[in-house]
Amino acid sequence: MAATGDPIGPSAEGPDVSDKQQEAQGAPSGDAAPVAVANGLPVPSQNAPEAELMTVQQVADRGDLELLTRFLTGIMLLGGDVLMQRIREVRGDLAAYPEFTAQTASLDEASTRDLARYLAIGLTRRGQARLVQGVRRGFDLSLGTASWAFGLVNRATDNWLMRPVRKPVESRLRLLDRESVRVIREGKVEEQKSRLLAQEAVFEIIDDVIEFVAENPEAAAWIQDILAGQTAGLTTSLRDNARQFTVSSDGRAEDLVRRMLRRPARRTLPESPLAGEPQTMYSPESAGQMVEAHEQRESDRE
Amino acid sequence: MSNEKVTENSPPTLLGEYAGFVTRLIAWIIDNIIIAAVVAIIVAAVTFILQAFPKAVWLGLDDAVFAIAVVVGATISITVPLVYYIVLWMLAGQTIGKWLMGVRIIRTNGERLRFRDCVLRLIGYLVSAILLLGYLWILVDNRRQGFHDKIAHTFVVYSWPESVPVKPLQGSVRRIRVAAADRSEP
Repeated sequence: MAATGDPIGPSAEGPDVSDKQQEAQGAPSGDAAPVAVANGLPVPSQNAPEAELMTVQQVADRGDLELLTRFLTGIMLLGGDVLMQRIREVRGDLAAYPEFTAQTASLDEASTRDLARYLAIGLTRRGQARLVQGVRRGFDLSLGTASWAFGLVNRATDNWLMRPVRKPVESRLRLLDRESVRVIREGKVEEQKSRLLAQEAVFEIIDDVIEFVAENPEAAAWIQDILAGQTAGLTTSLRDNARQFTVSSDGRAEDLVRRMLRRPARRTLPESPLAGEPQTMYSPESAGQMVEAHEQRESDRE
Repeated sequence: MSNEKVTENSPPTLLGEYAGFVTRLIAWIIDNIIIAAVVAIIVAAVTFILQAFPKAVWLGLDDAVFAIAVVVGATISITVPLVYYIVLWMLAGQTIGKWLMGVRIIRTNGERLRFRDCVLRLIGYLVSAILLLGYLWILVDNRRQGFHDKIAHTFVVYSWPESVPVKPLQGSVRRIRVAAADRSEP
């Protein structure tokens, strides 16, 4: 970031922490009481009231919060741009694949599960399209209705009788219009600052990470480990950790209840009929066999 | 218990062993969150559509719309859980919550659930809900069966092998820090 003419600094849009500190150092604005400064931090005088202490703290908090909000906004804007750009590039690359450009597909080989999944995906796609269409239509309708209503009101009030009422309303509307333009301009400036802040901060962080990895070969090996897929994915790892935790909790909960009931702790469980065996009873082949058996029973009955 | 084969040592894998109370409770909570979300979305959508229906307002049928919304809401609140449980139990022997927690329902003879078993198990849920005794029974039962399992002749067993290697990320970070600290020392 540039040291001079910092476009992200607080001076661009009103007082910030540093401005307040400057005010405190000897250039008070308005009714603000002077506050001494030590090591760059405001130090309230001995007889400063409680409210003044709170104000100084709140101003500092607000500065950090605004900075954080600006950074997060920038991250979202930048991230969204990069993601969409990448997706569009991939879409262009995928045009060469017949699966991606196919308009219809055969359902001969599909199982019941597949059909249910296709149905859910198809419904989601249609639902999304309809939702977008509905929102767009609703927006157009709202704009049309508002335009018609304004025209009607304008015609109805454009006479000498309604002029006294119309004048203050018009001045309020002009004020609202000016304020809206100001807010929009502020938004544009804020977006530029957020993007710049996020971009610079992310580069700084990436630089730090690269430096750390360069200095610590173990970290590089660990990252390579993850990228090579030798460790379980984070989701899988979390899920398995949760499962292991609940499995151990199962035994602990039973021990607790047994102690409460004054029964001896259970050291073993009876053997399950499927202990250690693969559970194939829910495979598609098994379902097919079940249907065949049912049909056989029906035909026998006939 | 006298005729039961008892394993003396802890099993090498959890696959097929009876699932305990906490795992099943968490699976049940996940399922109910999913069901509640689905019911809420459907009821909200139906209510929105009914309220947006202009004829009812013009004809002074506000009360009728409200009554329809209540009936539809009640029907959906009953239907969605029924469909959710029965379809998923029949297809996979596990709901989404059970899948996440790695447990599955099987019949006591080791076969998959039939429609009849699913219905019996759902009725068993209602029986178990009386003072929650049927659910708490899992804690003391030898085969970790609740009343609903006993009614439907089912077991709930673990469907994942415990031997999955779990490598906590925190441990790796700690190892890196320790190694870095060791190297920095003269």
